[in-house]
Amino acid sequence: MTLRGSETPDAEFGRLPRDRSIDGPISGQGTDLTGLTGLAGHAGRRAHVGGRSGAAVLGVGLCLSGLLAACSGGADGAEATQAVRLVVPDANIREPADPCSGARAFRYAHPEAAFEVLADGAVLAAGALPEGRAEKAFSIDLGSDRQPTVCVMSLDVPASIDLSDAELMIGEHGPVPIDPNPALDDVPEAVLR
Amino acid sequence: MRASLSALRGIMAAGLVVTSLAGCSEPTRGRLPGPVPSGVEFRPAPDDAPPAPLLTLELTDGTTLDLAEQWDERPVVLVFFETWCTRCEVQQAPINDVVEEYEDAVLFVGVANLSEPAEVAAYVEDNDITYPVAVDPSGDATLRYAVAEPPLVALVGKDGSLLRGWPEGVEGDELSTAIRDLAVR
Repeated sequence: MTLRGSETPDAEFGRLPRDRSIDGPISGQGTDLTGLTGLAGHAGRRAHVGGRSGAAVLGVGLCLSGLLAACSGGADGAEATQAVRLVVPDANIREPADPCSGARAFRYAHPEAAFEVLADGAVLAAGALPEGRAEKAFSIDLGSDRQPTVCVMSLDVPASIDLSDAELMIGEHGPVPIDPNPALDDVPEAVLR
Repeated sequence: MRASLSALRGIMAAGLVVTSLAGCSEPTRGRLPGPVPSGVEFRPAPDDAPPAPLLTLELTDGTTLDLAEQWDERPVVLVFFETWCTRCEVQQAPINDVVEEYEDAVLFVGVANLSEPAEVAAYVEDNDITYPVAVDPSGDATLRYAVAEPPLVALVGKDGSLLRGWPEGVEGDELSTAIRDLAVR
C-alpha cells in the first residue's frame, strides 16, 4: 500500500532491528544498537501478562507490596526509585523529542502496556510503560528535522532492587537483559530486539 | 397570592422544559452520515491514485461497516488512533470541527488496534467523537494502511481511491483544505 504525498510510510525501516541492515553508527543517545541479534528474546517467552486485567493484577500486587513496605518502616511513604532506560529501536521517522510509542514490530511497547523486571524467575518490579520520547537513531546530521529515531521510555523501579542480571518483559515479549550503558554513566538500559 | 403561585408554577415548568431539552442535546455517538446533501459534488480522483485497501470493520456498537459500500456514496476519512496517544488526543478537537463542516458529505471513521474497548468508549466520550469508531484487535486495518505508530489519517475519495495519508496525523485546517482540494467541490 502506498500513501501519497511527501509523508509516505517508510515500511523498510521496520526491518532494521531484525536483519541488522544498518551500516555505520547508530546511537539513540549513546545506546549501542549494533549488537542486536534478531528476535532471540522470544526464546524465553513467559506466561502472558495480558492487557488491563494483567495490569490490574500487577497493580494489586504492587499495592500490597507497597503496604508491606510501609509496615516495614518506610519513613515518608514514598519509595525511592531508579530509572531503567528502555530503548525501542523502531527507527521510525519522527522529530527528536517528540512523544512516541513503539512503532511497527514494536507496537506492543506502548504507554500503559504492562512490564515486569525479573531476575532468576522472580518478579522484582512491575508497572506500566510511560510515554516515550524520540531520540535520534543515527549520530550523524541527516539535514532534516524528521529523521529515523528510537523511542526511549524511562521506567521507574524501586531503588532497592538489584538490577545486575535483571531482565525486562513487556507483556509476553522478552525477556531482554538490563545492562549498564557505559556511554550514559552506566544507566541501566534495556534495548528491545 | 394565587397569581404568584401561578407564576412560580410557570417558572418551574419552564425549568423542566429547559432541563429536558438539555438532555436531548446530548451528542449522538457513532453516527453514520445521512443522504449526501443536494448540491454537493465530488471530485474525480487523479488517474494515478491507487485503490484504497478494502476494510470491513466491526464498530463499537457491534454493527459491521463495509468501507467499500461507504465510498460508493461519499469520501471517507479514516482516523487511526490509540487511547494512550497524546498526539491523537491533541488533534481530535480540530478534526471534530472538520467532521461538523462536512457533516453528511464525508464519512469519518475512527480505528483503534491495541486499545481496550472500555478505554476506547471513554476516549470517545472524553473527546466528543460523534463518528463511528471500530476496535480492530486483529491489526488487519493497521497493517493494510501501514500504520507504523498512531495517529495516521487517510483520505479516500468517492470511488475508493486513496487520495492522501498523514502518518503523524493532521491538523484540522490542513485536513479540511485537503478534502476541499481533493475530494469535495
